[in-house]
Amino acid sequence: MSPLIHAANVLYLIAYILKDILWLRVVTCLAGLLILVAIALSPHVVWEAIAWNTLFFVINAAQIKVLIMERRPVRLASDEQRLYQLVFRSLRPREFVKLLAIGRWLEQAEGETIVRAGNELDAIMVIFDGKAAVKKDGRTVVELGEGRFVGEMSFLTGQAPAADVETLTKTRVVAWPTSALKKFLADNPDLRSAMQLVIGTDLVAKLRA
Amino acid sequence: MDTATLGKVLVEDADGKRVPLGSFWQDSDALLVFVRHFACNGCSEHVTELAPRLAELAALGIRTVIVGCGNPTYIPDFVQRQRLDDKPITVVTDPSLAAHAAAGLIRSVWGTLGPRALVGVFGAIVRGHPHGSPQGDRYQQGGTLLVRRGGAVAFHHESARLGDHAALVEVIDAALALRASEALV
Repeated sequence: MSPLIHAANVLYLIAYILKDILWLRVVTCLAGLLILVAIALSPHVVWEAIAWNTLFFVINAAQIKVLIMERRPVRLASDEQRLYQLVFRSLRPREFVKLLAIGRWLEQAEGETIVRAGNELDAIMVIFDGKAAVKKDGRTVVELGEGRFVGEMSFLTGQAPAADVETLTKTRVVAWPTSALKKFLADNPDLRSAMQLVIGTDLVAKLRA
Repeated sequence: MDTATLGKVLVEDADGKRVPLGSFWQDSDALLVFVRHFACNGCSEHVTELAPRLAELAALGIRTVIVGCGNPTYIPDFVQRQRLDDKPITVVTDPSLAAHAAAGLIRSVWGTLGPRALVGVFGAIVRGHPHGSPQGDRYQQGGTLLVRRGGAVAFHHESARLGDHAALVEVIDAALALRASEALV
């Protein structure tokens, strides 16, 4: 039993030196396993010690799985990659994937009114492909192209849009339901800050246009 | 919140120039960050968090002003310590505490020495913000005020104690909502 205990403690020593949390947990798990084996092989098995060390092992193993999942490289499809470069570069790719997971890709025909003045808007959109016009009383106020947001005023203030938005070409957008996006951002504060920058930049550009 | 009274309070900059606080929201929206005193480590942490977002606030047309309550001679050190030299921010002070009082901010011994405040002090120390001798009134608490051009209040947070700050994401959301209200869609 003694060599196993010594080996486990050497591993604990190594774990304390490690700075990377993944490797720290891996080495701690190995040390914990050796401790478990040492206890199991001892003439008087202490079940309390086995229970506690098993619990530590399970927690560490679960956290190792989470860390490995988080560190996997992110592979984006070509459209996703383009959207990322177009609008969401300030987000980490994994955050972008999470954000995309709650959005929907939609295609709109030319001449379609995607936002109506006075009607409550329950989504915020980004134009991926195509063009749309913001129209007030039938007059075009501004044209929005690829990478521009539609509906951020309603998203941020909760007010109904004050203008129509009509597609000028066949248009592809990604739309996020307002309530789902708000909940998502509330649950992910880091991403909320990054999204504030993304939306703010677009808003300022729109107001200056 | 009566911003008319608050706006008349005179504050001093590092050079001793006195201006009415209301001059900051005369031509643009203003974010007023009232710190406790210039050496408060909880406030240091708050300002450190705010600093990277000052450009974003400026782009949104928000003028950010830090209001302290210490002697104006403390301002240059504060600016240097917080690395605000090249940031779009103004630092002023009102040692009479009239500005803090007009903003509805409390002065509290418990807010400085109570258990939650002490947890705030130690938490800030652990996160790299050393605690210094008071550079202003040690019992004055801080707060955050977002004032629209003209004086309407868009966001208001009164700190109950040291370490209690407005969540920055909430402040930025309020700033975004201000600008968004000028957009059509």
